[in-house]
Amino acid sequence: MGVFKVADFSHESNLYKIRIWIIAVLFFAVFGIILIRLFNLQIREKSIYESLATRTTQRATVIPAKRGDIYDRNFTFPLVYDIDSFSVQFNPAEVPNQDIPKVLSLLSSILEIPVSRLEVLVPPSTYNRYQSIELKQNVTIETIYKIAEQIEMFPGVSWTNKPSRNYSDLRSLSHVIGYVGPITQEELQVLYNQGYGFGSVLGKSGIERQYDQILRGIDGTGYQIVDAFGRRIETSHQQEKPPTLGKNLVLSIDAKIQLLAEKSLVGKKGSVIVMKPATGEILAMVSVPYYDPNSFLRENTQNLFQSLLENRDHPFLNRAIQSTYPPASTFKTILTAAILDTGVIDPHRKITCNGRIRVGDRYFNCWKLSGHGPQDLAEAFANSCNVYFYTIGKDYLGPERIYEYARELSYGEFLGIDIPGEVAGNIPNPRWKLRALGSPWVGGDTVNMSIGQGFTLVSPLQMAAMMAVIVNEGKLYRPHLVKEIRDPSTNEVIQQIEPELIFQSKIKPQVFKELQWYLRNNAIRGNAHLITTKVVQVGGKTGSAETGFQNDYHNWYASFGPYDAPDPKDKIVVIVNIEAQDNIDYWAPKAANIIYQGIFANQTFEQAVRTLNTYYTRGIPFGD
Amino acid sequence: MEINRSRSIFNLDFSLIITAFLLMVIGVLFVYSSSYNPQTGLVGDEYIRQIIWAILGLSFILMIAFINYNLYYDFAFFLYVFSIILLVFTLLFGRIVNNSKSWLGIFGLGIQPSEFAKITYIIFLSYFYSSRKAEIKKLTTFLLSLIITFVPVFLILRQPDFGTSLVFIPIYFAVSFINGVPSSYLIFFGSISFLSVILGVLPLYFQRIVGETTFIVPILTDINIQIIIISFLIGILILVTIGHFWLKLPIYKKILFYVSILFLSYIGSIEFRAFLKEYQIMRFITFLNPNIDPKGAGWNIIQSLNAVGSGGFWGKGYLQGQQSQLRYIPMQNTDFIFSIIAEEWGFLGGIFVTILYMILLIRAYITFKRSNNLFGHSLAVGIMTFFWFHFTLNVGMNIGIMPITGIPLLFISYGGSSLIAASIGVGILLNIQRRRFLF
Repeated sequence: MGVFKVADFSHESNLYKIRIWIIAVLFFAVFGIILIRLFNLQIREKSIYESLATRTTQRATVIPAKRGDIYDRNFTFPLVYDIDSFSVQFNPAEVPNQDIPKVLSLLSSILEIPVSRLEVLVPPSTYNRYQSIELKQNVTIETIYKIAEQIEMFPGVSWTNKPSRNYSDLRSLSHVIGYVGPITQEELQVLYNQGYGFGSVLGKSGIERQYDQILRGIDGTGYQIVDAFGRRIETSHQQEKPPTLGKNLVLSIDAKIQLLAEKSLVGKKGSVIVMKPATGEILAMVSVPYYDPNSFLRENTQNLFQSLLENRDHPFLNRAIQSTYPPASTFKTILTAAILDTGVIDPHRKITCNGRIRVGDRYFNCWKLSGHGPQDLAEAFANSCNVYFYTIGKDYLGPERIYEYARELSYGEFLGIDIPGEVAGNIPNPRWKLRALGSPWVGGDTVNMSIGQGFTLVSPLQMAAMMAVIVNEGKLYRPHLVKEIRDPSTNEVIQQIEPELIFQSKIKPQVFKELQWYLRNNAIRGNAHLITTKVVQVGGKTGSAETGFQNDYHNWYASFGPYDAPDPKDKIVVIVNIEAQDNIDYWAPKAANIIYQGIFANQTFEQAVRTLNTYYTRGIPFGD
Repeated sequence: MEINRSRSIFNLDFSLIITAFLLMVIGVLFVYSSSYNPQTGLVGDEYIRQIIWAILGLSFILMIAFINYNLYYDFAFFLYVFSIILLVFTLLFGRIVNNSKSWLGIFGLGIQPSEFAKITYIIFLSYFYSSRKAEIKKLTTFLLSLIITFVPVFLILRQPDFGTSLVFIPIYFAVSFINGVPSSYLIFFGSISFLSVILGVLPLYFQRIVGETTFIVPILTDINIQIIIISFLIGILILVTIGHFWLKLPIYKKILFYVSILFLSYIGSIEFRAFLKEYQIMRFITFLNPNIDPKGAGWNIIQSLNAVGSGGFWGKGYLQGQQSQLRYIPMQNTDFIFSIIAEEWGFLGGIFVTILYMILLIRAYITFKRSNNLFGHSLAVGIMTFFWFHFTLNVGMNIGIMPITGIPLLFISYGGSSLIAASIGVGILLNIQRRRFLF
């Protein structure tokens, strides 16, 4: 062992003494500095660090207002309502930068969103920003529980109750109701100062859109004091601003009649309107095909939406108000009204139909090529004879008159229905043709117009309005879909939508009474094999149009009933339009027949079909 | 000569043992607190491991206390080589923890060889100087001592573990100083290292922390200016060397001394900036103004300062610390455990821990006085410096006056290797004291 004795360096001990002293003094000086620093931090500047250290953040959270429910006129259960769901948010400024990727990857598995998507939502440029970024909507309470139980693993994560809209089994009411969705940039530019903001949900179509301001209520604001993990530390002293609930709507639609009308189309493409002319209330509005709005509420709806948009049958189209077709033989009603009102010819005078007439170098046929023989107005109307009306239109009325009477029956106008998308159709006249098409009016145009072909286009809603004018003997009340606005908590009626007179025809009321008779006569004489219901007296007019495209025909039935109702307020108007595949089917009046049976015998579709038991009802498949 | 004056049983310095013990207890308490938060209770079982290590540590203290320290003298070289081999192994086969390959798995346990390397270094360096007592003032001794130091420093820097490699420097200076290495050598070497670092970080300091670059930055960083300055300094060196040999005036030696320090520091600062990436340098100096990067490098410092400051005089109470409970402080059971103590036990707690370390140092000092040979003196100073530096850097980091270097608070920070290495240090001190009457 190499051991050195003390004596070996005792002469140097002074040197070592100095050296160790230097070291010791140095070391202890540093201790002093540390103590002084501690004193500064903890005693003198304590308050600074205390306020920094409590590091609590006051969060303003949105308390979303519950959107109003939508009921049908029977006010039993809501067709459309909110259900509780949550949206999960992340605030990057509350988390140290190096931890953010870890938190995101943990969230990815719990929220079932790929990490790449979360990284797009929370890019590094947002890491220092104090801003709540919404990561996912429609999160279930179970997922929230999972997050809450391990909240320390999820700093910066919070959630709010964000109700989501449930469209339970609306079927054909989807067009009427519409749907909600998140606000787009374009919409926000217009609506920013009307209570909408980023992430607002608003109605995109239908009732949801038209009545969005009434349905949406006003969001409230809540305040929380939370720690780094979003755990509530104490209640805030700041006053909570409670939300204003959205109001409930009661539609004029009767869900039973809607279902009846929808089923009566037996899956064919087309539309139905059932309206109450005395008030303008719409009891049913069907457009087939329709779509299911609930499917938009799930994730990955881009593909679904796109495929629906590209669908050749246009399921988003509300055919009842957005499609126009030539009115075909239903237009003969206009000519009949013109004859009765002007008296250009005696309605009892007979005009002979030989199967066709000649205009210029062209022939125009009647649908019965062998001709109907001599007919007066009633017979011609019941037979739907083309030649009679060609003659009237060409020789006695002329296009200007026809145009005038079409307008006096409310055709060619926007009716102001309370959902977006209405189109106004077109009633031609010589001036229009010159202006719009640059060519002069010819005799053939008059002939075509007389039987509702050619340039004339109307929507089913306009045809309903036309019938309503007849039933109301000259008055038209605005067609509307909402009947009442109710308070969401008490269900008291806040506002009743009153009938609004929008048009008064110049045609004499007596003419309308007669028109009603002609329509009733048509049903008894001309279409007895079609309108077979015994529970109500129906009056109406069929129409079959050609569009000129192959396999593309339109089939109308414009009707009203009961003909003999003592109180006009009990009368309804039923319009059916079928986009048919051929000119044989004629389903429109058959559908109307079933509808009248169901309404006036208070039966379901299946019961009505069984009761009617006609040759054409036997092939109807039941089910669904 | 007193032969059997035993004030204490087995001649053990009990104040040293008790101080170390108290520090270990505090360590367990606050490792526990760091894994505790009021909402969910305990979330980790690190405190159990800390208890096990504390027990092991105490055992080591007592074991080593009874091993004759002079044995290390004979085995110093082997101990040193063994630790170097372990460090190489760590670089090759180590596990990466916190971006640094500093852990080695042996029989299922993880150890950090760099912690033990500090002890073997102290031993070997002390042996080296003791065995060369006669040549202590020679340049070759000095140069050799540098090599002895740089081997472990370099290996640890490669892990990379900047903080641990840093510890070797003050130990080197203290042990060399006490052993009689000429101060001029130490000053020369020390100034160059120190100035290199200062000049190295100066540009970034001005750019990021102060905000304005002034004229200093281009002087240090612009390549053209660098060429000018280096040429200028080389010119002066040549002149002065010629002057020294020709005129033999002492003043030339002095000028040569200072100018070469300047020259080597300047070059050193360039190398410093070349060797370290900018973000590493930034992490180093962020402590001067943590708010320039409050969510990145400054985060730890800001959180730690908040915790410490909010502790006040009495502290928030054990387990009541908000910063730790809210998990704001990263690495809170290792590097930043002192901030928890300061938050929960306040100023009083901070003073208490500081006093305990002071006692450790005082006992090391007394060990120095009581040691009866040069080797023991040297060991005592080395271990004293070891304790002092860890305390200074770690607590300084927690209170924002030292850069973030990631070295543990001995006996208190969570971790077995550093606790046992420190315990070995205490044990060696005890033995030196025990043997003060033996020859």
